[in-house]
Amino acid sequence: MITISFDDSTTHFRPGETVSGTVSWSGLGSETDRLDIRLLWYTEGKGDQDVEVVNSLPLTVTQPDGSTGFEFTAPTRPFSFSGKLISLIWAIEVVLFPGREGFREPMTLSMDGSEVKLEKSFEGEALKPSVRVS
Amino acid sequence: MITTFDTVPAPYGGANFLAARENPVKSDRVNNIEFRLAEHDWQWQLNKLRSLKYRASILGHQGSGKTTLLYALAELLNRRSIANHHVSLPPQTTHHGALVQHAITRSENGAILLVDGIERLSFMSRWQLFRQTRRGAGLVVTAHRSCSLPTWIHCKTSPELMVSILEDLGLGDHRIRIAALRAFENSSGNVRNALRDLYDQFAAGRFNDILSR
Repeated sequence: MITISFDDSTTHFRPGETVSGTVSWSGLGSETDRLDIRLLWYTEGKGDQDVEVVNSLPLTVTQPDGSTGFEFTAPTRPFSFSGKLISLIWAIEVVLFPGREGFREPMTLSMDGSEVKLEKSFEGEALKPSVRVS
Repeated sequence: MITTFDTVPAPYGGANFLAARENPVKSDRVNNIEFRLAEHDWQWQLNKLRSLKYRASILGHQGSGKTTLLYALAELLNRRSIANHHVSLPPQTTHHGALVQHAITRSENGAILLVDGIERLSFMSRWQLFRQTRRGAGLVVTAHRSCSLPTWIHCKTSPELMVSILEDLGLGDHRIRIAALRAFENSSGNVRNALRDLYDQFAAGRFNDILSR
């Protein structure tokens, strides 16, 4: 079992702030020899998913139970946002190797601590090419 | 001549929309739906595929589950440590030559090729693939119509299948079911398009009252 917790239970971050917390594990199978703690963003919604790992901390696992701290600097972009068609979500992810089983704990990156909402004036208007003769 | 971009309204408006990450029909949930065999069990179907020497086709119309089945087959083969190589042919390109050549090399090295969308290949590339993998470990392709490979499974959809998928997604409400079945009917049995339509209806906030219960 994997638990990801943020220091002071803070899950909203501004660019440049420190994203820190603890990853705990218990009852890991003997086949698990390392884990990666990753700071990443991914998309959810109607189309294909995009994922970008921004930073990662590899760790060798020697015991079935244990914990470790993590610390990243919150990047400047992209901000967390949600519209009808797509949401961009930041998260701390733990991946166990060699099985590649993953666990995620979402967080928010923005200037005011909440995700940007794409209202109709943004996402509700699609770009449609037209041709003009000049 | 200058190309400019005009804005056009989205199909669904309204401020009461549902955020994409909360949409129960978002793509990562849909992609996790398991393929349902219409008849027999997996072992029976794998035995059939083996008897065809792993050279067979998966048939079905668009949105009938061919790609889902091909992924399920890859997983079954992986679990049995049977080497395989999945090839997804992009729809809007004619430059599949490098993909085909790489696939043939993998076939010569003992991997069963799983090719999604064989009809996207030119006649010559298809002929090259079929011919040069004859002595390989196998070739399983998805196609809309029968090709020169025998049929392994013919994927078909039904309203019952649609309802069962909704249950998998935890969408058992009567109103959602009716909307989904209407979308299924309007898309001529294309489950993928029906789910996309349902996504749009959720996104427009049409079922917010049900989700908030």
